[in-house]
Amino acid sequence: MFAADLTRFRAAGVARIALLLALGGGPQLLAPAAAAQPATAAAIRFEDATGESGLDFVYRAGGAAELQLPAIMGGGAALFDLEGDGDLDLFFVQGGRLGPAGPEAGADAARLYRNDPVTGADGRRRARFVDITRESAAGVALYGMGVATGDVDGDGFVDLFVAGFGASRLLRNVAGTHFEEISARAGMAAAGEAGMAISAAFFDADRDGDLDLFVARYVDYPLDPALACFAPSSRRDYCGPQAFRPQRDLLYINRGDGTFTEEGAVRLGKHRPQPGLGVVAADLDGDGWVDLFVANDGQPNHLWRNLGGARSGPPAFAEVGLASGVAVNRSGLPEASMGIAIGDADGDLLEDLLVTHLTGETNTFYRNSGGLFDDRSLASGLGPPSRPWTSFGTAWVDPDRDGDLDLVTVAGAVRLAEVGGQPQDPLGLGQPAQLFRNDGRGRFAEISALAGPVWARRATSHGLAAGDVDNDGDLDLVVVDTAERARLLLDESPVPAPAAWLGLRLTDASGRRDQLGATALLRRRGAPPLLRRAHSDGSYASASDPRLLFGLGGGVDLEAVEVSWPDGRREHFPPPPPGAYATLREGQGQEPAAPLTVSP
Amino acid sequence: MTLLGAMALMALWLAAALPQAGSPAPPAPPAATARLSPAALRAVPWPELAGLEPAVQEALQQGSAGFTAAVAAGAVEAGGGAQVAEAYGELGRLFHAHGFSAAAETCYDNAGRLAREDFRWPHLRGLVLLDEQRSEAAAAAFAEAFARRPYYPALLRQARVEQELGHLEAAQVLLAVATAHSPNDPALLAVLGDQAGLTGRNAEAIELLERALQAAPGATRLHYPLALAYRAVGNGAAADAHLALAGRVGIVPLDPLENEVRSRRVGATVWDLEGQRALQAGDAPAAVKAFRKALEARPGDPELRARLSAAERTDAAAFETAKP
Repeated sequence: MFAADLTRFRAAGVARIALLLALGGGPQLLAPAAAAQPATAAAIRFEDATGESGLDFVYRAGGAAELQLPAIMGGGAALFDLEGDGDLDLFFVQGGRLGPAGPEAGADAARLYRNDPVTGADGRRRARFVDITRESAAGVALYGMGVATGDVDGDGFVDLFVAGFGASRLLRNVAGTHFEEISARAGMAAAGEAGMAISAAFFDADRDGDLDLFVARYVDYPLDPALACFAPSSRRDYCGPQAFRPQRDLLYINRGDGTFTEEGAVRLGKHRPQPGLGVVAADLDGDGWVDLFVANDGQPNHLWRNLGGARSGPPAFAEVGLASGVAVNRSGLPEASMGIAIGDADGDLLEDLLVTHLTGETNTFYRNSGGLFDDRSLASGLGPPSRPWTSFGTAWVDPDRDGDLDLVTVAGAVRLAEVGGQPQDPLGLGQPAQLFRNDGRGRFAEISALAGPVWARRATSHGLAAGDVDNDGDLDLVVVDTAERARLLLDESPVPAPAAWLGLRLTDASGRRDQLGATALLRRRGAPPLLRRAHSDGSYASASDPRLLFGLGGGVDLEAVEVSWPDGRREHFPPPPPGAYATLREGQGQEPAAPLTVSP
Repeated sequence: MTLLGAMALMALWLAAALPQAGSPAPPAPPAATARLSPAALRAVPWPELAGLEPAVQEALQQGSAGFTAAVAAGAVEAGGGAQVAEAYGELGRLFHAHGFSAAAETCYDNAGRLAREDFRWPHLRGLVLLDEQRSEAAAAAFAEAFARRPYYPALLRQARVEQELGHLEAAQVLLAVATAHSPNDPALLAVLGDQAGLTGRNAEAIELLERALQAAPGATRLHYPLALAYRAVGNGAAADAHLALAGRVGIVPLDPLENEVRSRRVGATVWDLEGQRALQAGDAPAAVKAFRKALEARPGDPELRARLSAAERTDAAAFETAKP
């Protein structure tokens, strides 16, 4: 009888199918790729609006012809409000050349575009970008990689930190009219602090009300002679970070006047530097002090726990990545961590981490359970579909405005040997972007194929900035493709109801300065509360819109907004009317009668 | 009969049919080939040779010449399919050994079409598809290999891929078959332990991973999931102890067919890369072996010699540390 069964089993052709049939119709998927397909997923749509937007920026990174590592690491973009008029403007970092003496500026410089929206025949306001690089003096010349945004001197205007190879620059925004380069004056131009910086994050490390800066640095890259690396075929290929010595990250502490002292060696303590590519600042353990998560390439990630609340004197950080569960993946292996998206993806009012990775690895979803994290890449459905691609920039979005966070990633290969398909982009490293929809319980299904042709386009995409460029209550995307025109992807998904969203800006008492790190808990009657945080960091080498967006679905009764400010203060605000942006200023809410909790 | 009963029976008879793990590569089955028109075969995307190490160029040129001669001698229409399949398979191994995955995949696919009962070609094709991150196709290829002949490494590979894809129940069935055959295989225990941890069966994960580590004490990667499992059951001290031991060295599953591919490697570069990867992972003995191979191909190379010395020093230091 067994022999007959065996024969029949083999005759079926594919044992896998037979086994699945034996289970009674197919496997139960832990990652519910098919089961979770939402009815409204097909309506989600992003459209490429670059042509009509006025953007004509191309990131040019020298060294690609010689397969030099820096050519595949940049660049980023920043969506920020230059002059405080409520519209997002756009800054692009520019790459450079690799000369024999080191990295240098190329023929093109960084570019700044002012958003001068126009109203179309349909009554809709659309973003129009005008190049104001020359008059704003924003065209900083260096081999640029990434950018961070924050108001370092408290004057109400957003300043820029441009991270680069060989040098980085701090650009002070002068009254929204132009920039002045103040790196040396601000204490950020020491020779030993140059290196290769990719990403940075402004945050308030010591709760003194001003913005400090963390700079993730990569590797000590020698140009002369350039190191040759090879694929298994023995053909030349780009090097990975393992070939080089990692550089120490930098922690600039603001003296209170917009000048800084670099205190990484002291405040981060003795540790082994790793090749850092991404960084986010957030209070990940809920103790009221802002921690730092640093994505390291091919090495264990760092989680710097801010000990400010546990010590007297100046704050210090302790590295707790391994013990917290975010240093490596579930299997115990460090991955090529690059981009980071931080947000409450499963609605438990704790911010989770999504870290993007190399082809052959999955993107990793670390679910936060109060400072301890669990790798849920498989269970969330975010892991397996990402395995073929080298993802860089990433952001949580909510195109269906149902209140739960969906995910975007953009990708580009870093090895000629690993490119899937036949890329047509100039570097030959092109890969597609991906869009994942959340089913409301922290389980995701990839819907790229349903959401417009922009997701099928292959490019060498690294930087991704997210922001509401047309102020219509959703997050649009700016994608930086190496050696090709940067793209503006507008979220054109249908709106379930005009009041299906609420936008908040969390500011200081003046109403002019974003309070990076402040969180807002939106309480709703008959629906779970939603948590969002004001931040411009994350993704890869880029800075995003710090405003908070809440998707409200088909209409929900709003109860209150509870804000936790970076200095530890907490306030209640009555809910602003939905369907618009509102500004909540620190000090203008009500102190809660009882301590606020983040529990639903 | 219940589903579980059916699964258990299936496990028993499949286990009985499996060859023992760790045995040399099973011989190819007797020729049972299809009469295919050459038009039914896929064109091999021949890689550009420029820029390759001379030894690799030479091997590929020789491989091409050998393939042409074999095809000429065994015209497919005349019933020479087995010979042609073997030629495709050999060329596929050569491409595979040097990372030309598209060419290797096509060769193995053609070989598998020509020799429809030969399990080797779909299995090797599965390995290449894994390199290309085509997991679903790889799982199907391993399943096809297993259907042709119950080759244990194909079963284990398929189980791992199904698990990585989130098809946990499918993986569980395959792992049950594998367990019935080789209950103490450390590679299997590691997969089972990972799955138990993934699904919250932490006590079981601890038992399985501890057994895997006993069988393969150098597999430092396993300390991490073990630490997670201990933490989940509230044993913080054990969790901390295993976290402190966590490393990157995994268990390489026994797979004689894969070893045959490795044996086709020529030149220094491919071994040098393997050595560097092993060293990065903390597997000094593997790094030493790989750098020695690289030096055989390029004797006297000062960089290779330096890397070998570094790996030897690391290996010796680890040996000293491990002494009782």
